[in-house]
Amino acid sequence: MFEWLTPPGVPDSVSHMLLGYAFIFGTGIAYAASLVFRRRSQLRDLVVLEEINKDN
Amino acid sequence: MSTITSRSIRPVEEKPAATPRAGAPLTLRLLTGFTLLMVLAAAYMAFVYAPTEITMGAVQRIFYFHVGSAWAGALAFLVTAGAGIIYLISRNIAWDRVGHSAVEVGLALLTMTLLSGPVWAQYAWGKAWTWDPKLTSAAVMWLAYAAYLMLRQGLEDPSRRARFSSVYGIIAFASVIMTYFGVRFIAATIHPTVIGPSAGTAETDMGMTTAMVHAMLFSFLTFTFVFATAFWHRLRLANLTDFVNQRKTEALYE
Repeated sequence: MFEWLTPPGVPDSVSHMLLGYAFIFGTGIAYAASLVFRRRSQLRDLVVLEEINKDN
Repeated sequence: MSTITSRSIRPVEEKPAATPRAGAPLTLRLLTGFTLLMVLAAAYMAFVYAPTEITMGAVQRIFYFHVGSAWAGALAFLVTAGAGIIYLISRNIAWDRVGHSAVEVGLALLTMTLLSGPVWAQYAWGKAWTWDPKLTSAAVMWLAYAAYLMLRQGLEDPSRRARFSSVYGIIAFASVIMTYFGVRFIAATIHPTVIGPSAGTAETDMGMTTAMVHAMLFSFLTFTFVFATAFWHRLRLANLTDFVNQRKTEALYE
């Protein structure tokens, strides 16, 4: 079914395995990236808030 | 002089969250590096060390990370239920952050399980999904914890949100018990049972070689570290978010 994922001659079993691991690692990488981006966003907000406090 | 001491009208955040540090502590950085090495080692165990299964071939190698992520997801939801109980006793908002962080990490881990399973099933059973009791129960579990996050979005008041989330996190753990233990004793399922007995029709003897068992146990250990690391990072984010929200509220009222 997923043979189009891999070069001709690669068994269907291998293409399924690769897709399964692509989902696993893809989810992990996406979640890790979301943690990094959300933390950076909060730190940026904190810098802005500190600037506002200084001005006040 | 005010004598009002009722817990219900005290500010929820009695102690302001500690000023966050921009960089992760050394222990967390070391843990993150070690976990990444563990993931690489677990991938080596799954792809190289463990032999190819005779009937299914290479696709069976999905098994190692599929069960590892399922285990760590259940562990995360156990942490949520525990944090919920402790919050309801102590009313310390820090435990709400623990429960919330664990749910989010647990959902990511369970998503890995629910995405990799159907790919394997497509090859092994000829279809990606069946409404088998075990699979259905796992889907209900995912939805139950996704609903936890939606519930939090709908509650503005922090103490109310923490109370509702704690109770919900405890009740939702029933879906974990059902998926991992209940289903195997009350219903016929085609999903194999990896650990422990099954009263149903599940395949319990998977005919694993010693090397396969090693790879599986190493995967369990690796995903325990993956959970611990992701949870710590998520908890730091939760602490930072609460700190920033506090500062925003203060800035509004200045």
